[in-house]
Amino acid sequence: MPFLNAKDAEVIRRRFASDLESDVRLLLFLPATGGLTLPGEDWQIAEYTRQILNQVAELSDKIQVEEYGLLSHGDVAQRYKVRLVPAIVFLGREDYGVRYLGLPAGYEFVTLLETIIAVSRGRGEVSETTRSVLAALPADAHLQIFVTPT
Amino acid sequence: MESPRITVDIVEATEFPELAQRYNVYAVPKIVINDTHEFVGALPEPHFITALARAVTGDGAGPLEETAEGAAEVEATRLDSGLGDDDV
Repeated sequence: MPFLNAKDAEVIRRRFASDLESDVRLLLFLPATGGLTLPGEDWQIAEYTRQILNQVAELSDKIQVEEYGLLSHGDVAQRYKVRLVPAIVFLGREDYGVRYLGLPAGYEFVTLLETIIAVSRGRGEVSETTRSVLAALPADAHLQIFVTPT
Repeated sequence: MESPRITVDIVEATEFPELAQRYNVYAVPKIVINDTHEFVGALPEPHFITALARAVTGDGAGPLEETAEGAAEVEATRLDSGLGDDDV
């Protein structure tokens, strides 16, 4: 079932056409397959996430979706430090360390689109002051940003 | 993207209740930095960056004090009580 109506799809297609620069790989990590559902894994949410990503990827040939099983591709999951699913790893020219855990729907659909664009451009929409502060950070920072779709 | 030192997980809180509970997420957006500092709400960029820088450099007024005027009140709260405490 399409999440996007034709009008919205066209708006996003145009935005991607004007704003995307480098190719973006969306690595989608899914729960175990084969009828085995581990506690805490929700296949329905993962399936919706898969459908949303694939519909978004259809709107630009610069976006590719790759699907991995958390267990069946354990080496890939480990490389990208993915432990929970569904998880999306955004890769542009490099891995900027941006992950999305869960279903990027509702208001968070915009987060998905903006993250794809930012990763493709390799820079965010931030001020020069912010840029210089971040460049001078003396230690690593891991941010967890908790959101809801409403 | 502006710094290789920063990694970001955006977490859909209702789908990962264990994480949300671990970090006492009652309102969104809630930002947790390095498991040690947190703040709630979408801050204006200068305030956000000041809170982030202070969390990373420790509590002290670092060299970043002048980068965002008036941002002192949004300093991220240090998580003192240990994660997973239910009595907070």
